[in-house]
Amino acid sequence: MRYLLPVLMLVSFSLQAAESSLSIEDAWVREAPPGVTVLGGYLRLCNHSAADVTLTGVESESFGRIEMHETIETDSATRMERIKSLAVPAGKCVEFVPGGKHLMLFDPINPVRDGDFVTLRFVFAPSDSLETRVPVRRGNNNDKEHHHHGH
Amino acid sequence: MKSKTPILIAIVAVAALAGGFLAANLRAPGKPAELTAGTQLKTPRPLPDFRLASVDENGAEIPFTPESLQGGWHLVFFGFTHCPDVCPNTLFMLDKVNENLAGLDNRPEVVFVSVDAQRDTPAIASDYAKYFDKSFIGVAGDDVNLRRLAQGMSVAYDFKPEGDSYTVIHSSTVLLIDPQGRLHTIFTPPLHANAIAADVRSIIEE
Repeated sequence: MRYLLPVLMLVSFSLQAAESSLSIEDAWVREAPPGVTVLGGYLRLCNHSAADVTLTGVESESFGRIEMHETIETDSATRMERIKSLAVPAGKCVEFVPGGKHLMLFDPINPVRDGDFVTLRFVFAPSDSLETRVPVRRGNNNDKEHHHHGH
Repeated sequence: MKSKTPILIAIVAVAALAGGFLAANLRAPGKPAELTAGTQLKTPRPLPDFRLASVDENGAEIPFTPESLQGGWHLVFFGFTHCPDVCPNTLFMLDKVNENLAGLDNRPEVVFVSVDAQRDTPAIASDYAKYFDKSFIGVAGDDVNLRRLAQGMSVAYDFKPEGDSYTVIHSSTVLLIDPQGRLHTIFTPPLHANAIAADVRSIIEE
């Protein structure tokens, strides 16, 4: 028993170290128009560590489920491809932006509106996760200056 | 996986047809010098007959037919409401075009046509469109009429099963319709509000 505590401390320490080596920046969720139960989410995910990581999913208590998708636009057609998992190489960032990779947040448990915050949990393989509070906004970007409230 | 191939073939076929049409009908060798974003048809093309619906200010269904696109300029975009990325991107972009053209005589009205007949009614399409700007018109209807209008505007769309649901593959072009209700200019992605607004202004003030 007397070895358990130091072991637990060690485990918890290594998890913290892993978490601080990943960052999520400029994340936002786009408010859905009336009647729509699927929202888009955008962010920049950076891996500051020396090891590659893989984003395997995103979870939230505010939504029924969350998927990762990518919009692929050609001259004649636009389609969405689901991303099951996403590698983030050591020292690199991956961007989720309008018209590119994005989160699809399905079936909000409560309506989410411009100005609200939702908590998203990013799950990585092999065993990390990162939780972040994300603002809900109206519009095409996360820039408050150009962000207008249409009433 | 199995179900993907025929749809892809259909998309490629429609795209090839649309491409062939564009090659044959657009002004050669390039676009008119004054347009930076759009491609103007050599001769504006009349649209086929179609019968769709929108709603009036009281929420009552009203017909949306070729006559609805006459008497003024229109910017038309085909999409669907369960579309979290491209459709809001495009409609917020069109809101910027609209703001940019404030004060212009004969400013085009923006029309959002939902191709998702299964999920979107005229009321849903209208509520959705008006979220982006109160002046936007939302249109929906049955698939036969939607396909007729889409084809007339060189727009292709199809449905792709996804789990127990489906997603929509669609052309994300924006179409400028002249006051005679004819297809006048096609804007293909990437769509930039300022460039589109400048083109629309030069066409309307021509």
